[in-house]
Amino acid sequence: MKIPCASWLVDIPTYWIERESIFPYCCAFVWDRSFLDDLKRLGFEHAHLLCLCTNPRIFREISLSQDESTRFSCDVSFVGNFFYRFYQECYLDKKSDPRIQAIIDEVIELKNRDIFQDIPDLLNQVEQKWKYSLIFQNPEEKRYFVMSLECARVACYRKQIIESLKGMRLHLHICGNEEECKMILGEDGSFEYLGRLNYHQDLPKLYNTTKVNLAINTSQKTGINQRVLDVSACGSFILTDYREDQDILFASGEIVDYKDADDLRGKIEYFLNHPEERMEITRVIQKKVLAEHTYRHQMEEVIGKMSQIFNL
Amino acid sequence: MKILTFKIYTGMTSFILSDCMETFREIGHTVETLVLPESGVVSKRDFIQELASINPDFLSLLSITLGLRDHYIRR
Repeated sequence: MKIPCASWLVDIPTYWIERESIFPYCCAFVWDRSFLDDLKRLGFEHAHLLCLCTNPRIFREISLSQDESTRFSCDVSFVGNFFYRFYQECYLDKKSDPRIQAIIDEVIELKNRDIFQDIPDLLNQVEQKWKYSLIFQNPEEKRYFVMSLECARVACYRKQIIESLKGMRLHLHICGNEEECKMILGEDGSFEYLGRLNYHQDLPKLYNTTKVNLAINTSQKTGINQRVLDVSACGSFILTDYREDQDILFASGEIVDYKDADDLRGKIEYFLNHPEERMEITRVIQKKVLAEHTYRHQMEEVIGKMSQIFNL
Repeated sequence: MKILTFKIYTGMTSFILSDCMETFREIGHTVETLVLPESGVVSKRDFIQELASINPDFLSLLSITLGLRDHYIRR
């Protein structure tokens, strides 16, 4: 069949795409520039950057009822998963073997220090250092382990960032799989768990009523988080950990970012105490997001690329 | 243009997919959606027949659906 195919890879493509899965007439679109080289290596002839975008009909400024406002309003909110299942499989179940556990801990630590490093490379490096090789029955098992390691890394990183906010006396909402969040973060009353919220129905309400919306990136190396765009489209304030593409998609310094937990705490405190500055920053980003980063812009890009490559 | 997509995934990806499809329609294209069974079992013959009857200009997939040929047809 010679039907062209546009595939927007909104996850980490290298974990599940194999050379054999690639077929002719396929154009891959990736949301993070770092994946372009990976896809070319895998054999994709056509691979292009297509950054994430927002739907301004869903993510917009809205008025909430009194009940909704009471439910969602807070100082700081975080929406996201902790990938507990993977974390558990990879990180906790192997505690019985101290060598494996030490290797896992070190890989996670190195990856969190430098997101540009790839887990398989780090694993090789650490295995060599410890003179111990993990044994896998087949490539599929190793691939699943690497994916679990990435999830465990994200779980550790997000836990570290969120826990650093304890003691700030914030009204902080955590949204995601509640059971998973509680297992990772505990239940000492530092956070209010809102459970899993519907992306289209509930998140715009949360974003509209949160003073500081927090983004904690996962596996992207250069790409910006979906939340940065959705929150900004709502005319709300976003504070994110730095990724290179924010300097390409926005003017340098336009997006407020944090480098580490100390920086995050300082900026949360500052922006909670400076609402006018928060609003000023938000207006500039909202205008740019609506003018350049909506689904309309990105789908027109897809149509244009497909027409150009396949003469449609 | 006539675009064919496959609805097989839940979660965040399904929202991105619906936003993409809605936008394709909004900018004047025709979007057909092939809902694949949860079991993931589709015979190659049925799949090709469906494709032939729709005759799209291109397929639009998201992430995991790229592995469609392996995940769904080969089973």
